[in-house]
Amino acid sequence: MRLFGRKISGGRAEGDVIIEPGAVSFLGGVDPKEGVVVDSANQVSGQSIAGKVFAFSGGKGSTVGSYVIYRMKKAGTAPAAIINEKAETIVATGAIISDIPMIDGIDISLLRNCDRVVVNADEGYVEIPGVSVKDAITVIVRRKDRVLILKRSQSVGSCRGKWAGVSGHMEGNEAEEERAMKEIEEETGMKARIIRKGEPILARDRALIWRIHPFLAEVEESAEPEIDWEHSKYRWIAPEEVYDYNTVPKLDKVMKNLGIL
Amino acid sequence: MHLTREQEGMLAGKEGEAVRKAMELIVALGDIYGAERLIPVTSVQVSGVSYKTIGDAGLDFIEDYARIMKKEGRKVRVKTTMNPAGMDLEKWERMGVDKGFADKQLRIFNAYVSMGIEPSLTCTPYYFVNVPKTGEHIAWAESSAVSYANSVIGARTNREGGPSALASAITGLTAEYGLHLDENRKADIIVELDFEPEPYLYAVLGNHLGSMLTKMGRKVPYFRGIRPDEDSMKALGAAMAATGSIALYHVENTTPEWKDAIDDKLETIHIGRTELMEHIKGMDMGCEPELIAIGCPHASESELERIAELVKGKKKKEGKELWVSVSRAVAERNPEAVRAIEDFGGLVLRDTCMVVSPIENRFSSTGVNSGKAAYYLPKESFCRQCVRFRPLEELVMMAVVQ
Repeated sequence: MRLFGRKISGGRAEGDVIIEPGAVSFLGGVDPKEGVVVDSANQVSGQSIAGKVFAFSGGKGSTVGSYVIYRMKKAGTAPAAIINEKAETIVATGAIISDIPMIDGIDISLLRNCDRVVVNADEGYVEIPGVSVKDAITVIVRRKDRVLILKRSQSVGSCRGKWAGVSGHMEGNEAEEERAMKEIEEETGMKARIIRKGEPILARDRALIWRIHPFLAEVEESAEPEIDWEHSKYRWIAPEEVYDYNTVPKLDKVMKNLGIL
Repeated sequence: MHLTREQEGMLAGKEGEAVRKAMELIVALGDIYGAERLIPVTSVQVSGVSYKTIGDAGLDFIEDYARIMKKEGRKVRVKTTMNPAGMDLEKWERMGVDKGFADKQLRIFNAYVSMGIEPSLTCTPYYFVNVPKTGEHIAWAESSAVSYANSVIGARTNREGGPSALASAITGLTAEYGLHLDENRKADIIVELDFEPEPYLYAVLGNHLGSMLTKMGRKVPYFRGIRPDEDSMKALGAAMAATGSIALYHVENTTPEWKDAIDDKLETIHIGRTELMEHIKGMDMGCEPELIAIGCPHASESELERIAELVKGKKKKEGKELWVSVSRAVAERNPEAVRAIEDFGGLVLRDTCMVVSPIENRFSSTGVNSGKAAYYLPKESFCRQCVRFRPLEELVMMAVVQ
């Protein structure tokens, strides 16, 4: 599986991923002698980034951070490559003056610690060998101003007990819309009308990356689902209430993508 | 981004490694900020000169880069001046700087000079040494100088970092985004004052507004109701750039671009005297200062003369130090004022200032009239000073035997 982003600093490197979901300040936040993150605000505080593929949201702090990256490179404690969600000047400058391959525009939630990846910054991608892509659909069913969420049962293969939309993976060569209609029928028994299709969203699930095709469907005011074995409960919620539930990954993104959140 | 054939060649390494790396940096930053092309610059101001600020990491980088440039026979392509160092290159011993620091500082300085950068060592290059014209595109680092060049002079620069400014010096180019473009130079908020502040309050206004506007997500304030002189604008801009990310402001009837600064109806905020007096309480920690330090940014000729008049023929108090930081250019043009201050027992420092020199090794409390210095000096990881914030005259008189 290749994730495409944007080249910031050229080159190619291979290494194990270490993920910091937050922003990183290299001046004061990283010890250049040891290559260890020391900022207690970071989840990876205490861990070494030397020789790793360091994936973090972006840089922050003093512009002297650029020189700190350079110093790490000379001391052999620098990351082998850098992946950012959104690059800013400090880290971009540090990577370029230090010849460290760097890309941005990557959703780092698709990476896992210890993934062995190849960063090809010249071509602007990160390759995660051994991880494959599967297509799936998620349908948000709307009834007036409320949307349907379903709690996944203990009998399903993944994400047991989490709240989800109507969902299912693609089989054979069927069209995405066809699969969406089938799942609504199977999982809820309701008659629905698809009114919108969103852009695909990627979500990591162990050795898989799901390419989720979001759909928005509408049902009559009187419609009520009859759930099957795949779910244990359902609720009609206002879209912004999605944050109050323990959901499958990126259900909020699906809603945003469909323009209802 | 669109590059010309010549620029493509520079990026591909046809003009050597120093130019290639510089181009890579400029193009990457341009891509990040959505530039469509590169444009020539007429002058550059580099930061990253003080050893205290950039440390061994910065020293490594600058010496390595200077080495590559020397090997390839390259010098900077446009007029380039440099920021202050961590010491006066001649009087460092009198400042209390140790030899280890001085040696490394000189190595940084020599590396920059070997690249063809002028030994200006000032944050006020716009006094005599590097004076852009209105409308010129430049690539300056040093946030206070960026603010002055954009706002008071009407030249056009983003807030560059040390390496990106150096890259522009080597290539003569910068990426066209941000403040190089007309649309980003428009005001996005009106700040109205219902009184004319005394000169010293401009530093307070800047210190207050920089963080406030940045938190509000505003970038270009438009001032109404005030008529600051150039010294007051310098103080205002430096403080706003220090506590926030304001790199350009307009003043009605005063700055060069004020007439074109407002397109739409903008929100207006009002600032009163009470609000500023209240804000001073947060800047002034109330200590009895051991050191009185004027010249952040470096003092102008008129500021230098005012201090000279205040101390001329007077006696300095025991246990008080008076430092006045200026550029070499301003000092050389005002030998009498310099002599008056030095005869008094004060130190007129060239090349440096109280923020970027290691004053924490010698002092624990400093009196300043600068909204920028008042922001940086108390920082635990930087200068560790207990700050006294007062008007210039009052500060200077603290050092004078009455």
